[in-house]
Amino acid sequence: MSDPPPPTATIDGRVVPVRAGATILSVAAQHGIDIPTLCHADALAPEGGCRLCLVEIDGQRPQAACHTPIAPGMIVRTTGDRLRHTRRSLLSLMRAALPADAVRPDPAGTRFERLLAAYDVPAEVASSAPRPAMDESHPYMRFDRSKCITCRLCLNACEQVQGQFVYGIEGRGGAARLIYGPTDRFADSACVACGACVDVCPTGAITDRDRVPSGGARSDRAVDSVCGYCGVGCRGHVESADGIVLRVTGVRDAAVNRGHLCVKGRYAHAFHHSADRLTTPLLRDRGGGFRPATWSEAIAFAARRLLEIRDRDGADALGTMTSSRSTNEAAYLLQRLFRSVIGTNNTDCCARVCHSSTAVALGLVTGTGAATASYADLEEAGLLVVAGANPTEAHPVVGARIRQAALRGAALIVIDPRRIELAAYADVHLPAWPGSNVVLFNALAKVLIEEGLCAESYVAGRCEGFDELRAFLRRQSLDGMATVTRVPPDLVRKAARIIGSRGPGLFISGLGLSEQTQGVAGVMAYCNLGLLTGSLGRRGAGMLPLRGQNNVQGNADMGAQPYALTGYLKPDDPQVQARLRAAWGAAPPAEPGMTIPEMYDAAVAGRLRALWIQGEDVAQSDPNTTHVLRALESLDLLIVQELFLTETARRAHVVFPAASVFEQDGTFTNGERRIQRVRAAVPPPGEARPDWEVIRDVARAMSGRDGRWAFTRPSEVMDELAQVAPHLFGGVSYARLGADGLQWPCPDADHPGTRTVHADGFVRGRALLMCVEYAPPQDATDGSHPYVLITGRVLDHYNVGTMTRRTPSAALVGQDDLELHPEDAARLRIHDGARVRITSRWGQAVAPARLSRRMIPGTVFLSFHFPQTQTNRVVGPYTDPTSRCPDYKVVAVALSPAEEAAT
Amino acid sequence: MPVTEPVLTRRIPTAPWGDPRDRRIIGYDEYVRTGGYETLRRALTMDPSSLVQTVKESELRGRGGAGFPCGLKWTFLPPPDGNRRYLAINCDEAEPGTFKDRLLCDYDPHLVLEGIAITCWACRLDTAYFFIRGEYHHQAKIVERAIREAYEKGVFGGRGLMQACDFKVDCHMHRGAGAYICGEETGLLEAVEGRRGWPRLKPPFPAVKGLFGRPTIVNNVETLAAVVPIVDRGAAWWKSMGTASSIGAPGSYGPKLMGVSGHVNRPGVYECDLGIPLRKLVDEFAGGMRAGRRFKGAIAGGVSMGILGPDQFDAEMDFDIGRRYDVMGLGTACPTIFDDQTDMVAVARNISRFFSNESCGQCTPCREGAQWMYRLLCRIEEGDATTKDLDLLNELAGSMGIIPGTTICGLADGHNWAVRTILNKYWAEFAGRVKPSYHGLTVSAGRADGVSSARIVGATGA
Ligand SMILES: Cc1cc2nc3c(=O)[nH]c(=O)nc-3n(C[C@H](O)[C@H](O)[C@H](O)COP(=O)(O)O)c2cc1C
Ligand code: SF4
Ligand code: SF4
Ligand code: SF4
Ligand code: FES
Repeated sequence: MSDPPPPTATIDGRVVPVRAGATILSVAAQHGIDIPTLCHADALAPEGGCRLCLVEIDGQRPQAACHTPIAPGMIVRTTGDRLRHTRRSLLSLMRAALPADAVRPDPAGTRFERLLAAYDVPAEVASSAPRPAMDESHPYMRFDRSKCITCRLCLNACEQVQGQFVYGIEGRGGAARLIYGPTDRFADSACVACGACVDVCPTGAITDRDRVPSGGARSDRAVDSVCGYCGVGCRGHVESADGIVLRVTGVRDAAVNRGHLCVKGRYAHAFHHSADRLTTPLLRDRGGGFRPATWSEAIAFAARRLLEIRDRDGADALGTMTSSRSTNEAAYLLQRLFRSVIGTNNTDCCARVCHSSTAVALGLVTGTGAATASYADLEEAGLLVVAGANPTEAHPVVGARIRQAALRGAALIVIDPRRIELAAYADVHLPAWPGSNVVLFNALAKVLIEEGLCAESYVAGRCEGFDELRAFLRRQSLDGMATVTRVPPDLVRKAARIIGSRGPGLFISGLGLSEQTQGVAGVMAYCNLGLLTGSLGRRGAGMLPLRGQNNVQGNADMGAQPYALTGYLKPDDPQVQARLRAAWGAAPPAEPGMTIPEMYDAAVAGRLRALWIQGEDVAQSDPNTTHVLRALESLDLLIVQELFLTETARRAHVVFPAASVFEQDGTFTNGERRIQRVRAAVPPPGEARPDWEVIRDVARAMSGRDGRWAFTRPSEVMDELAQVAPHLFGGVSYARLGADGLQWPCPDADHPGTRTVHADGFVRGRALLMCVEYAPPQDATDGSHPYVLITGRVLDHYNVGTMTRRTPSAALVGQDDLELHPEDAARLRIHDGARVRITSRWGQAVAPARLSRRMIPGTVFLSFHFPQTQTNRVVGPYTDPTSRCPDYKVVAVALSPAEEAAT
Repeated sequence: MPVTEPVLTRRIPTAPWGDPRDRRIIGYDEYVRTGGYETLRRALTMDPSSLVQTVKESELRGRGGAGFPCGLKWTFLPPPDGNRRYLAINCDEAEPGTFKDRLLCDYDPHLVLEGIAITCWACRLDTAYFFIRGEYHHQAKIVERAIREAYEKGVFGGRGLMQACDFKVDCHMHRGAGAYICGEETGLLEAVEGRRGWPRLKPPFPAVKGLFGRPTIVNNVETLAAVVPIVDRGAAWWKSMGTASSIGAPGSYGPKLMGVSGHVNRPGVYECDLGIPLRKLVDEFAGGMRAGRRFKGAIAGGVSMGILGPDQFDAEMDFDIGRRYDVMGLGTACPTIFDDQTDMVAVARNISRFFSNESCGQCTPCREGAQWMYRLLCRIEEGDATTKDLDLLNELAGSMGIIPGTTICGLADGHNWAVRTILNKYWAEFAGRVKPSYHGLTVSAGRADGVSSARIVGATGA
């Protein structure tokens, strides 16, 4: 029996196959038939208002192609005198509502202006109303009402992509007009400046302020690259002219971000041409200041001093911190230099201070210390749990997708002491007291187990430790647990029932889980929930930790960890040692090296003499700042690779000017293990150079021009990586990376990469359900330090703000605020905006108060983006005992009104 | 066959069977005493699908304006899947000149509630939203009280009557906020969901994807009230009233509430058989033309339908009226009568103002074109326009609506038909109000608002 021929329809005489559910417009577009539209965008639900897309259909009245499904046998005409006439009247009506000089027919103009030209709409039709003033209140976006045709594409993009609901329509009929909040000022609106609306506006009514107005300078170069801010790893299209980035737009079909970006990725690029970029190498001069040096001088100096110190104090007196902001290639070469040329495992990266706990815990539970799921699972998940993360601010593109999932009807559970934005979209928000994550997860697991809500066959077939966990949890009472978490047991039950009935689910987490003294424990207890619901290794489910920085995943993968080598290989494995000896010329020591906090301690104690810090302002970002500064100042040699003369760089003996994300080639690996190509859009300023080249040159200088360091291109570094760690990267090469890169593991050249890890069984065999005991935070509150301080990020800035403070983002948020509950504020007699002194057992900071009901009374929140705040001086020395990840999230503090600042 | 006894107005004294001065609110007890909820009780013992079949056989057509066969609409529902299914009761009644649903709410709300309960059982709907126009403060109170009584007596809420068949219906009232567009069925659904009442794109139709994305039936108050006597006395009895179609279309059966307003002696709601000639409705029910004046025209049934001209006084008030008398349709069957002293230009201008104010603003022609039409009509009324403007008005009106494909909902069709039929049926009156236009003369005739007639012609490509 042969299949019946597929159904067809006819568009403009062409026979086209009919796909179920497809619109006439989409099928026509697929066949290159262009139908004019003014309210349609591919990624958005049809709006159907402009009616420009009308087509004629035999036997029916005219229909809008953008929302009319195509049906078998339909005969459609998209052109003709009648349609042309109708479209022309529609365009005339739109144009007639605008002031005369607002738009003009222009074959090279905006979509609307091109249509006015194509349909020959007379130029004299216009409203004589006075032209309204342009809204330029926002640093990144402007609105020209005189161009707006009320098509609502911006509104739909805002709602359906970002989920921010900034726009509305006010008034009826001809009085209908677009609004964005109570005032006509973007700056006062709820806009988060993701720019999704700008990309769809067909008239130029909403435009970016970072770009040159049309008719001005056009870009002379464009590349597709990866955002250099957070670990989502959005792909952007970077256009530049004369060595300056003009604009960044989301790559439309990028697997990671599908055309969307956030305010940082889209707009915060001006830092790259900031006047205070470092443009020459700097050497410390005798007077304690810096003098410019040539590259050969600086490289020779660094190489000589590194060798001298190694020979004098031994290899373990040297250490390095690679940068999560730099490329995989740079991180790989730097750890290789320290491991093979110097001979120490003292290589760590800033992942230590963020997600090391996550990696350790996931490694213990499953055998692989990375996300098991991918961002694509956000759209497939029926249940999302978000714990200790504030994605709408810290990982905005993922945050927007979580919100869309919740709006679509996926169940959402939010676990966070603060009532973060996503809490408003959640089925249940569990405001666990800071430091009580372990107990809360145990309580949820207890309900899952005791109410028979577990995925039994999954647990039986793929996990171990269930009986122990059940017995362990039976010994605890929900009421007892509630005294620690301060979350009512009924709320816990409600959440657990949703998790149990709607799972498998996607378990998303952030630094609120890992940056705790019980970081590893917390993540393991969280993994229990993933395992009990049968989520790990399934599509649309699994563990999805959100990595903080653009390449923090890559840094760990490359081996920037003291106890694991490239590709998480074990330093004490003889086979590995043999392989590395062949590839690197020398195998690293079998014993693990020092973590970052240990390196500081060793420096202060005089055991660590030299440190190479790549692109991290540790003097600002690391906790217990006073201690860090002491450590840096006790070194014999501090090498810093940086964009700017940061607080850390100021203390260096040699500073290498680095290339920014816009100025180098290489790869980043995002939080879903996706290795993507970074491409130079502009040349580095002055003599600044990409990190990897400088590392190579120092290594060559140290190793007598060893042929094993003769890399000429970053792709050659990747090729070596594939050989060194074939189990994860064997199939990775620049030739194969393509537009959307590859997700590791990708062991051979035919492997498509891995979206869901552990699909066919766990890397360690069976996954471990863990009995995790609670330990109270070490920095306990008491009478003199009664409040719990949580530190974190806000949307508009990134980490210590080195980059974002040098962009117009500073006009959006210009300071770190202390968020506290109005009840606490009243008790302390602190009014909104008043300056507050925050005193911990370790240091003090001063910040203006912002009263916020997002906080639980007794807790306060402070961001760490501005150096003058010195947030991290307040954070204590406590770390997780296993991962050594510092506790940024639970700091006991006292609050008092501060005298007005002297300045 | 004519209606020989009051059906929907059985408990509401109405001429010729009763005296409106005897009207009072029928509470639950009195409703039950007079046979109320008996039909529901019997229906609950019957197979739901047989009830749908009965309504289908009765050929009951929707009383909300579009006249869509009610039973057929019900069959569009997908089979129940265990999740929520809704009934939305359309009591927006914002069409100018229409006030028939109000009568039912005012005096016999339990008749409507019984219809709701039977419909929910027949269609397996579990939640009803009674959407009532914001201006019906008084009616909202009465219906709300009736709903409370119905809950107490176990009509709603799964106790009492429904318990026996393991069925539960909830009924909530939702009050509108004064927008005509919320009477459009999908605008209504948006409003109930708490959003702007912007009509949705169709498909999907509400029966498949309505309130909160779930299957939903939207019916008019009078339609639901009619379900009760149909189920009670059968389809054949229902079809014994009214008339078959004279043009091969679906028939117009049963009695119909007709609200007569305008220049008549006794404006009000009357229950008549469909097919009654307008003249008879006016003369026998509404007491004849006021002050003995001559009939000049009548809005067919709600202003959206357009106008019956001076020579169409004998038009039969049934669902064929649209095709036979060049109006859009029967609409709500609530005619507004104009006598010979009426200024038809003012009528058109007034109606156009209504539509340009009530356009929701979604569709280009309805949002922008409506204003042009209104401004043109003002100019014509002021004597400032030219004959060419009449052509322009005609074209502009004719270009908007679902029928030419240029809009999402039927509001624009209403504007289109109202203006176009008035203009064309009283062309001479309009022509007498404008200056003749000579080509080339008006080209530079700028107006205070910066728009010249010739330019507007350009705007529509004429
Ligand atoms: C602009 C507009 C306004 C409407 N207003 C009403 C109304 O007030 N009441 C009503 O019952 N139907 C109204 N309708 C018709 C409804 O869309 C729908 O057809 C009706 O509620 C279906 O019920 P029925 O089949 O019982 O008549 C309106 C339609 C349009 C296009
Ligand atoms: S601002 Fe642009 S996208 Fe938004 S309604 Fe106006 S024209 Fe459309
Ligand atoms: S979400 Fe992260 S990766 Fe994406 S644009 Fe924003 S900062 Fe860049
Ligand atoms: S036709 Fe008018 S009222 Fe109806 S959806 Fe369009 S703009 Fe709104
Ligand atoms: S594109 Fe279809 S109506 Fe606007």
